[in-house]
Amino acid sequence: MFNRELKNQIKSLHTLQGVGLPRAEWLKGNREILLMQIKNTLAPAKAEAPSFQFVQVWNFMNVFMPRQAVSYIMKPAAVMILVISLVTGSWVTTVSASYDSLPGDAMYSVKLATENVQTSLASKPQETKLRAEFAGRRAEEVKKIVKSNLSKKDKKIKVEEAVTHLKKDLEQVKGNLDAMKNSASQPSGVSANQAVEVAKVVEQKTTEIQKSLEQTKEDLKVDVKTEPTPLTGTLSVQEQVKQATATTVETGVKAVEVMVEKHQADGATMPAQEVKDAVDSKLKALEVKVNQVETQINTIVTSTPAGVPTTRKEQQDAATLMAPAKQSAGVAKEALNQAKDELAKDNFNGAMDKLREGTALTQVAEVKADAAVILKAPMQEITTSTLPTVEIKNATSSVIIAPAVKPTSSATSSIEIKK
Amino acid sequence: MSDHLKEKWLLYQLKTKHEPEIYGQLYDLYAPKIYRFIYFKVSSSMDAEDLTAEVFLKAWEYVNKNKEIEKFGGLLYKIARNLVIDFYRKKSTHEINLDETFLQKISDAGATVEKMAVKSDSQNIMKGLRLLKEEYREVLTLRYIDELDAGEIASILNKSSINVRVLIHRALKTLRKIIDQNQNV
Repeated sequence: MFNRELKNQIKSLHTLQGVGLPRAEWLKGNREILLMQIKNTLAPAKAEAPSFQFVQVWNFMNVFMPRQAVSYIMKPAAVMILVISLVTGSWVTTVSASYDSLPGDAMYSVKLATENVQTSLASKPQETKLRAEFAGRRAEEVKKIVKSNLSKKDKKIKVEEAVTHLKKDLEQVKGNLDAMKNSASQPSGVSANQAVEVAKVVEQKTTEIQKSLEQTKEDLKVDVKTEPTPLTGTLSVQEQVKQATATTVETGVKAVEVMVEKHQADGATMPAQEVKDAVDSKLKALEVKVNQVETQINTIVTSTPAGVPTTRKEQQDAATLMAPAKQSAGVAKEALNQAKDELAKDNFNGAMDKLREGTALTQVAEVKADAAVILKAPMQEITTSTLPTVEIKNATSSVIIAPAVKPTSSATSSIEIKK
Repeated sequence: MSDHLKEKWLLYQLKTKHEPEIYGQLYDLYAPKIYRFIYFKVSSSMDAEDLTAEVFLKAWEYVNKNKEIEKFGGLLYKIARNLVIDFYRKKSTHEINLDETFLQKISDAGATVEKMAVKSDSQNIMKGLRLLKEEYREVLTLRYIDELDAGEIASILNKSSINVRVLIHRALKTLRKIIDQNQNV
């Protein structure tokens, strides 16, 4: 039998009268039941649908165009059209269209692209202010992601994306502030008044971001006990938030440096009292931070991460591990006190030097405390474990220690200052 | 308007308006085809009716949740295929039994068959199809009875178009072999 003949015979099965055809009455009855069932699943109709919606166009393209064309041509084109319309449109439109989107959302790329276009069109001082504003948005995004019901893996990926953008924006702000601070390389067209104005905005914004990130850290504390330390390469959500906080603090200090610099160049640009208040607020923030780190160190010495009081022997071991962190915190406090003394004498430069030193040392103390916590954890497991084998101990320690003592960017900078 | 374009237009309207009546039109377009697809796989017209109804309800869930649908027909066949698999799992039997009434219709007892000159050929084809393995029977029915192209079958079976073409070729070859053997017996 030939293939063609065979194919025709198979096809003929479908043309057999009555074979494989549904009963007409069933077809009709089932249609009515089906439509009734689906009507019950529909949400109540909205008051009045607008005459034109972007979604309609999008649906039309999705249905009538090949999938590849939609993915590779229409999606990027649609994003560009949206960006252009949002940028050229009003600020309110921009906010309402993509403001609430988070990393991973469809509108997030529109949000970032819109921000990029805004910064590229703005003057240097305006760009710096915008970037500080956008960094604030990233901090809020991190807060929302941490509070969401997403899985730990998804949270980590999304937080990582937001933190990367936050750090990128703040690094750019720091670079711009540096350029404004240094009169010789001051970008053309940026007056001392403008520089001070930008510095004030950045200082205010970084304080807000810092508060938001500190709040996020508190929210994360619940997860800290259960989340394993990443072994290689990637950072945990806590570490990412800590790094973001460190960059924020550094940017805030840089903004105050600009204020001091401009005040010293021309007293009329910014009154001495305002500069003093700005430095003082940074010193107070540092004091709070140092005290937090000290409390953290003491808590770790006297109890387990789960809050169970430790034995005397464990306390001695923990105190030994925490000694470097405690020492750094002590030196940081010393630098802070010296900064206060300098400020009292209206020696802004001296106060700023000590403020920078204290900030860096506090970060070092925090890193050392974190490293000690990780070193302490396996020790406790070993002392309470019923299967204490030397091989396991060594393996556990060596695997966990490696990433824990890996210096972060903040740690590196602080060590340089210490020298 | 061709069925293909009509399907696209109805799908677009459905996505935009979410109106049950539009879904009803898609039902009119596809219900007989899906019923036949299922009917060739299950043992009775009653089961085919129940499963067809379920297919359209499940497809509505897709539409209602605004999930991406490239081809409505493809989606229906996919759901139908999965439901048939579930159906046999529940029945704990993997043997495909064609409907008694269907066999009657192409046997000597059927009045329709009396009118057909191709009666014995049809019987042979049916017997041959029953002896084919499920994968081969499926591609042949989708290709020649449901008249879907290789691309559509590929999307339903989660295979590549080339893979589907190879399967059709092998299925035809095996079917021909079975029929030739039966004729020689």
